[in-house]
Amino acid sequence: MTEKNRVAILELMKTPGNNTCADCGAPNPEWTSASMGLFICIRCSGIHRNLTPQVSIVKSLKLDAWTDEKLEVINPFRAFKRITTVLSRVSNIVTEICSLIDTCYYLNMASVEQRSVFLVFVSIFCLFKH
Amino acid sequence: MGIVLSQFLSRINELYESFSYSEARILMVGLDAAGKTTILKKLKLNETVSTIPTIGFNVETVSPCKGVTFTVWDVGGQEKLRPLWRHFFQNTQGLIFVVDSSDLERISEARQELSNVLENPEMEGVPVVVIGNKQDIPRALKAHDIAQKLSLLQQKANPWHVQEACAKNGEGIYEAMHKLSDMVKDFEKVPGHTK
Repeated sequence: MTEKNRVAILELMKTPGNNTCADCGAPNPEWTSASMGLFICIRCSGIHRNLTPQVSIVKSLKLDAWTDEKLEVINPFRAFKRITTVLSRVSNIVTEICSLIDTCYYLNMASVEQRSVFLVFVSIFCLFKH
Repeated sequence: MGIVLSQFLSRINELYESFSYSEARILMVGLDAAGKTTILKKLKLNETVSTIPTIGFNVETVSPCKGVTFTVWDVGGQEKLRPLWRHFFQNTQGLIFVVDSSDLERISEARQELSNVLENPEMEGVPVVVIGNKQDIPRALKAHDIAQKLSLLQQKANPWHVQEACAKNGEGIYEAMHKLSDMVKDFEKVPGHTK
């Protein structure tokens, strides 16, 4: 996994925009602000470190181990993928609830109150299931 | 007459040695961006310099208190540089472990790295001074919290001390060095250890 991430980082370093320091424009930066998703040179990384890790977490592209979560911050495509998976999960819940509403409707329950109480319970159950 | 003179001379020599400078080889490690290089430069130049990440190591000879000379090796702390620390362990007489007291998220990582260092047989009995750096930041961990979070209270094999410090204004750094020199002197007295 780390080997795969290493290759991914080498590719990210080549992409236009990442191949110059985000702060000073020096070529081929080898450091990042892992919290901001910036590619910066070693001199600027010293300045970022002074900002404390609460503001900017400085990581080396070559001297630090990159887990999938850390890589997500500096790789917009991965972040996008994650957002879409979250969205699809939410939409799944919504469809499920809608289908349950349909079922309730067809169940033709005795009163509106009973139906709504049932709905609320089912929705809560669905949310917990996810 | 000659015997008396030689005894006198050897006595003088002993006296001289007890007053002479004691030297020690000190290793300074810690996670990246803990402030190791800043502390080293502060000790050497008494100036706050803006540093860049250390790739490899820095070494300086410093004399933080009277009669003591430390050769301090400051090794880079990035994840892939940490396995290289063990190459500096041989003949180390004191360890300085620097932690960023304001970085609560990585204190457990620091604990892991410290225990890795102390597990090495070459570090057996070596005195450890933990510097809780960046005390100027609000909500920084205090000395007893750091000792607890680094599980130093269970540490029996090495004498240890935790010092709150701020490398930016130099607070606590000289106290840490003073403490370390005392501990190194005690360590030197232990028989069976080779210098």
